[in-house]
Amino acid sequence: MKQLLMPFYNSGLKLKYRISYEEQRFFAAFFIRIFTVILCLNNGYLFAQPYTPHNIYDVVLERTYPVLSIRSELNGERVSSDVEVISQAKKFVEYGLEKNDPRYLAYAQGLLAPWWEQKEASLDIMFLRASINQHSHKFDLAIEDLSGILAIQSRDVQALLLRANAYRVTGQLQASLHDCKKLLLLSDPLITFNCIAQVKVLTADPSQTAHQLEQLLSDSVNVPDHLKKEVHTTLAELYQSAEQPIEAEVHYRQALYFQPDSAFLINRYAKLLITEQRWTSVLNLLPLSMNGNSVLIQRTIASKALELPETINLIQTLKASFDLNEQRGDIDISKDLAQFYLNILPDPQKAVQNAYRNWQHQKEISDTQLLISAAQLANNKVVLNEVNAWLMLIGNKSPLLITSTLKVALSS
Amino acid sequence: MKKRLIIAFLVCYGPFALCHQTSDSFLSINKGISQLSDGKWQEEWQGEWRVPLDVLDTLYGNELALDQNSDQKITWGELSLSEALLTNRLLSTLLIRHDGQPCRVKKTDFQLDDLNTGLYLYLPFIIKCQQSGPGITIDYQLFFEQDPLHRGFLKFTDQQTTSSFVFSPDSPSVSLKNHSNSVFAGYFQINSFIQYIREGIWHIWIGLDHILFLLALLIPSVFIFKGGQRQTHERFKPMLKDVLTVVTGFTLAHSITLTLATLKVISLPGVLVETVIAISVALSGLMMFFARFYRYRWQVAGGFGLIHGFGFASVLVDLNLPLASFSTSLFAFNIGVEIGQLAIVSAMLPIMYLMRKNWFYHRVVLPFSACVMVTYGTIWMFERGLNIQLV
Repeated sequence: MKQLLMPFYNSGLKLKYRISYEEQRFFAAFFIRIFTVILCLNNGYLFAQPYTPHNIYDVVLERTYPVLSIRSELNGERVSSDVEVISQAKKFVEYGLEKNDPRYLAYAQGLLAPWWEQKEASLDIMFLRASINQHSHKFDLAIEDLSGILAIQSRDVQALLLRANAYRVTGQLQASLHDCKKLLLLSDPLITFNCIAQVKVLTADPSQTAHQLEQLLSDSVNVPDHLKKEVHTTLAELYQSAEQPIEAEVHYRQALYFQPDSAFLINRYAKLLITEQRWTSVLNLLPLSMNGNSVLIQRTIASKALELPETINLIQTLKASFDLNEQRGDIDISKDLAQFYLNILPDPQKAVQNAYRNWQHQKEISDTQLLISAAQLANNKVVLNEVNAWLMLIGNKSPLLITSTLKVALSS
Repeated sequence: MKKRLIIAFLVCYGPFALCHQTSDSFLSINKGISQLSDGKWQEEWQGEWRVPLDVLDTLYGNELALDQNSDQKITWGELSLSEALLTNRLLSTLLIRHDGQPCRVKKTDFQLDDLNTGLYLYLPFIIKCQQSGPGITIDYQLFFEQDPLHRGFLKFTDQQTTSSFVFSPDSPSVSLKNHSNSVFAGYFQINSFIQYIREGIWHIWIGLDHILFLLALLIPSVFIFKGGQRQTHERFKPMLKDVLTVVTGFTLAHSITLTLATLKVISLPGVLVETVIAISVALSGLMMFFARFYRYRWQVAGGFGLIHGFGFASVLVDLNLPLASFSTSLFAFNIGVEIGQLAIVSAMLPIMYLMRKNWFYHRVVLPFSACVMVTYGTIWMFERGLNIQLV
């Protein structure tokens, strides 16, 4: 630093008073540090400007995604056959679900527009429509289409599996179990028991169910990777419900082995780490490239706990994202909002309102636990009573939820 | 059948962690001015459109043959080769009308823009309308056919207001009122001249950063560094000379950049300008602690004054000067800034002169003001540089 500043100190500048080396150093150090901090933290924002790449060979996009290949006339009329259109829609649905990217489901919806409102559509179209609606949390519409398929083909494994899932998520556990049991004679025992085990996360001893599922998995041969991933995910949830976080973590890791970039798995695993207060592990787990609300929420919770300076920036980003979602007006973000007001900017009333709104159509274990925590914070006994009544009705045996409700009972 | 099974599994596990990626585009339309070949100024609407590049490729990539060598990689060269097709395709989905008459959209070279949500194609364009009247209508159809969840976020800025609108398949059109009819009048009135002077005064008075910077340079004016020590001016004249030197340095510097930036000869990113202005406040506050630097205040005023000029210019761009009297308006605004500045100096100078030997000025006013400048400057620096809210 001295060498850097000395030329100026000894320069030919005809200053009447020479600035001492200490003074130069003081000023230089002060501003260099502040500039460095700003440059390191601002993430390019300071100089964010449109630009022209210098080289024509610079790759600006790599096509790792499917592109629309439907041919149209100049007047916009499609010339591709219905079969081609449906096949393209299928590609988009598969890719959108695999990458958890709702845009591709929307593109598929666009392709299926001529049949979107048709009651009497082909089974393929009804199945794609149900998949898209279910992903968009429109469970009633999805169940309607799936029931339509099953009315024609009662032994359709995929439709049964999907409807069982829709029933389970919406809290209709008996109906879900009923569909799972129908799979017994129609598909692989591992698929059937995995379906049943998902319902038993709440309604049976989860630890015992997990042991049975583990046994079945080890006895099965030639299990495809995607099924292994699903089974490990179910096992992780069963162990989490049984309050056995070490085992749950092992299975989340195994599931992630088969799909390392699954936003769903990363989110669930991060939530487990948050309950364990392993903040640094949370930050290490969440890839910086993922910027969905759920991932941002987990990152903000961990940053806040570690009192990192980036927390303020993260909160601003989340608020901006919620504003954008609100302006769009088509995405249900009540679960994200509930978590935000519960853990990040505590506002018990808003947390319970959003958690309750989410619970109206999603009653998985994490949704129920979120509502219990929010209602407890807001001291909302009406909501707590409603949740307790529902848990009694379904015969809840999840130690995780039993502990949560016990904590509430003891605190009141 | 196997594919359907995978879909069923993916739906079961996928939907409950919506990523909220969207295909949204961001359209901004501002009123601006441009110089004609005959030297006259002309009013025009300027547009900026940011469209996510991967969405563009997914939905239009095949149709426009963006990947010309089919290597599944799109280079800047390939994109540039398709520029005409691509911009025509995009602009065909945007219809701008003024009082029912379609406006002509003149495109300029596209670029890329890295936003938090990904890489965007940045398409600047100029809108030329035949009619001059109060209403502008925008019809937006981008991606609606292919993506029912697509939204177009519009920010519309005219002389006095900024409004926003979200285009969706259910509301693909918006009529916006142009609030600046007077701008089309084409002649300059004395009232407008006074109005722009007022705007100039108002801007410096409400611009706390400019005021703090000026005060940080003015407060030490009662002192002189002599014989290695801080001494007080005995007479008013040398103190006035000192103040005038600083103020002139600041005025000359910001007038130059204010004019150049308003004429769009030089353009700097707004965030950079605002951050450096904050730094100038912190640095000038810090300088107040060191009497030996007092003699260099006019250089500091001149140097940072250049950046403050860009700050003033950003306001002027928002004001959208009437084109028929562009130079007169610019002059009026600058006069306003100087009047506002002079008012501050006139109010401060006698107080400073009277208090110059008082211990309170030496021990409280000077260090306390310096602390305020450094604190505010540093906070703004972080807030503006990092786009965060600290206070």
